[in-house]
Amino acid sequence: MNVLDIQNLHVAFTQRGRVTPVLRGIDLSIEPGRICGLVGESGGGKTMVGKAITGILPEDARVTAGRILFKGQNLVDLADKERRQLLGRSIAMILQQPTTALNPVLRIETQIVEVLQRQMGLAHQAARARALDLLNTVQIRAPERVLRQYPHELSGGMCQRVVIAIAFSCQPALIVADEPTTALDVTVQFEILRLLKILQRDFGTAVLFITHDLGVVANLCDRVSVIFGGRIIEEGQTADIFTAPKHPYTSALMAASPRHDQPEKGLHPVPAQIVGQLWREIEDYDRARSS
Amino acid sequence: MPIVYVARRLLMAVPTLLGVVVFIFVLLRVVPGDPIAMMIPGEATPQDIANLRAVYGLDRSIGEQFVIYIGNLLRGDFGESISVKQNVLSLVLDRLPATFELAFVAMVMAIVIGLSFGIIAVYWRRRWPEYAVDAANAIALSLPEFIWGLILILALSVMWPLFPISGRIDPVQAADFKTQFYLFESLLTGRLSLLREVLEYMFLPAVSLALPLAAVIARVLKTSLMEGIGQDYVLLARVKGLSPLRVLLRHVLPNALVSTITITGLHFTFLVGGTVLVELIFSYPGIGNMLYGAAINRDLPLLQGVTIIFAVIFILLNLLIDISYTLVNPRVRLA
Repeated sequence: MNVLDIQNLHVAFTQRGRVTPVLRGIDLSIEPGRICGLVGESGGGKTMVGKAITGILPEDARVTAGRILFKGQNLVDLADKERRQLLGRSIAMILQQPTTALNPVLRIETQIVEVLQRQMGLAHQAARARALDLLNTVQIRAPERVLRQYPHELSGGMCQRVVIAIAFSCQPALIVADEPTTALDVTVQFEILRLLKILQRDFGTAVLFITHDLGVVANLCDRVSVIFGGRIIEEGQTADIFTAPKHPYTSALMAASPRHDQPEKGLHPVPAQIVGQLWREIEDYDRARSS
Repeated sequence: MPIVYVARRLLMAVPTLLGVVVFIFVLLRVVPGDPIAMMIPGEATPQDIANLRAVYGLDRSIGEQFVIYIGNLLRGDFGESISVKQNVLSLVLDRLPATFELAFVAMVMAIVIGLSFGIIAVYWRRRWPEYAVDAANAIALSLPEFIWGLILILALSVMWPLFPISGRIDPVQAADFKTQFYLFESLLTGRLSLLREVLEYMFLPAVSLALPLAAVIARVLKTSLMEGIGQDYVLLARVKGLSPLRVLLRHVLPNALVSTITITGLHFTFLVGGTVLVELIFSYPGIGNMLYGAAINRDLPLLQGVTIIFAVIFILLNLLIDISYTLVNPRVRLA
C-alpha cells in the first residue's frame, strides 16, 4: 500500500466570499521508503500540497474536494485530535527557512524533547538522551552544547540539521520536505541533501520533496511530479521525465535551468506561449467546475 | 552580567534625576503662586511676610536657593514641608508604601486581565470571545482611569454598596499595623480577615488604574499573537502534533511577550502617574494624594520631594521593564 495517496485534491482560498482555487485536482502517490519530487515554479501550489498534507493550510484556505490518504486513512476528514496523533509521529515536515523554523525563544533541547515527550511518551530524561542521539545522527558536533543553545546561536545549516533531527525523531513514515535546501548556500546544501538521503534510506522514510531545483530532483528523487497552476501536468520515473519529457512545459522548465557544464547554452526562460496555453487550460478547467 | 548592567543603569539615572530636580525647582519658582501667601493670615504686615520669606529662604535669588537645596539634597535632607511643618522625606516615606501597594496590585491586575483577555481572544479567534474582548478593550480604553474611578464608586459603592468608597483601611484597624505596608504585612503575618479588608479598600482604585493598562496589554498582545501564529516555527510546532493550547502558550506567547513588553512598557509608568488622580478620588492616603495637597498649598519643598520620588519610581520601573524584556528574549543580552 502507498504511504501517501492524494486523489483529486482541491484547495481554495475564500476571502470576502470570493473563492480562489489554488489546487485543482492534484493526484499524487508515494510508495513506502521512496522519494517523490514535486517540482514547479513559484505560485504553482507546491507548498500548498505540503501544507494540505500536514494540515497547516492558512486559515482562509481549505480543502474543497478530494482525499489525502495516509496509509489508507483520509486525512481530510480526520478530527483535529486524531490528526495530531499522526503529526510528528507518522508525518513530519522540514521547512524552507531553517532559521525561522525554530522558535527563537526556546532552547534547542526544548524543541526536540517536546515532540518526543508528546508522541513517544518519553519521560524528560529519556527524551533528552534520545535528543542527544538524534543530534549525533544528524552529524552535529558538540551536541551537548547545542542542546543548551538558542537558534540564533547556530548557523543556518546547523538549524536545518536540528529541524531534520526533529523531523526524524519519531521515525515517521512520511516526511514533507518543503524546499529544505533553498535557503542554504551551495556547500551546505549538498551536505544537507546527503544527510537527508542517508537518514531516509536508514529509516525507510518516504519523502515528498518539494522544490524548484531540477538538479536536486535528478539526484535525489525516484519519481517526479511537475505542478503548474495547482495541477499536476506530468508525472513519472525521474529518469523518464529527464530523458523524455512528454509535456512541453517540462522540457521548457529543464531548458530554463542554467547548466554550469554548458555555459554557451545561455539562459532560457519558459516560452510565453507555453505558459499562456497552460493558463488557458486552467481557466477552462475552472469554468467547467464552477458551471 | 546583570549586576554590572543594573549598576550602570542606576549610574546613568543620576543625570536624569538631576535634570528632574533642576526642572521642577525652576518651574515651581517661575509659575505664579506664592507659598507664603497661602499660609499667612489676612492681617499680616509686609514686614511679617518678608520675615517669613526669609525663614524659608525664599528671599534669596533662584540660583542661591538652588545651590542650598542641592547641597541639602546631597546630605539626604529634602527640607521641611511648609504646609505640614514636617520633614519632607519622612512624610513621603510614610505615604510611599500605600502608593506602592496600590500600584503593585493594579499592575498585577492589569497583567493578569490583559494577558488572559489577549490569549482568550486569539485562542477563540473569529468567534464570539474575540469580539467580546475587542468590545471590552474599546470601552476600557475610551475612558481615563479617574473617570473609571468615579464610575466604579457610583456603581459598586453607592448604587450597590459592595466596596468602601474611600480610604485605605478602617481607621480603628490601622492601629493593628506595625508598618505602612498593610497588604504585605497582613499577608505575611497571615491575618487573612485583615488582608481581605485591605483588599476591599484597595479594589476599586486598583481596578480603575488597571483597566486602561489591561486594555492596552490585551490589545497589543492580541496583535502580537496573531502575527505569531503565521510564523514558520509555529507551523512546525503544529506539525509536531502539539495541542493548539500548547502551541499558543509555549510557542507563540513567549515571542509575543517580547513585543508586548516593548510596546506596553511605557504604559506601566502611565499607571504610576494615574495614581495621583485616583488616590485623590478615593481619598487614598498615598503620595499621589499628597502631591495634590502640596500643589494646592504651594508647598514647594514637599512638591519637589514627591516629584523626585516619582522620578525615582519611573526610573526603577523602566529598569525593571528592561530586565523583564531580556528575561523573555534570549536574543538580547544585558550589556
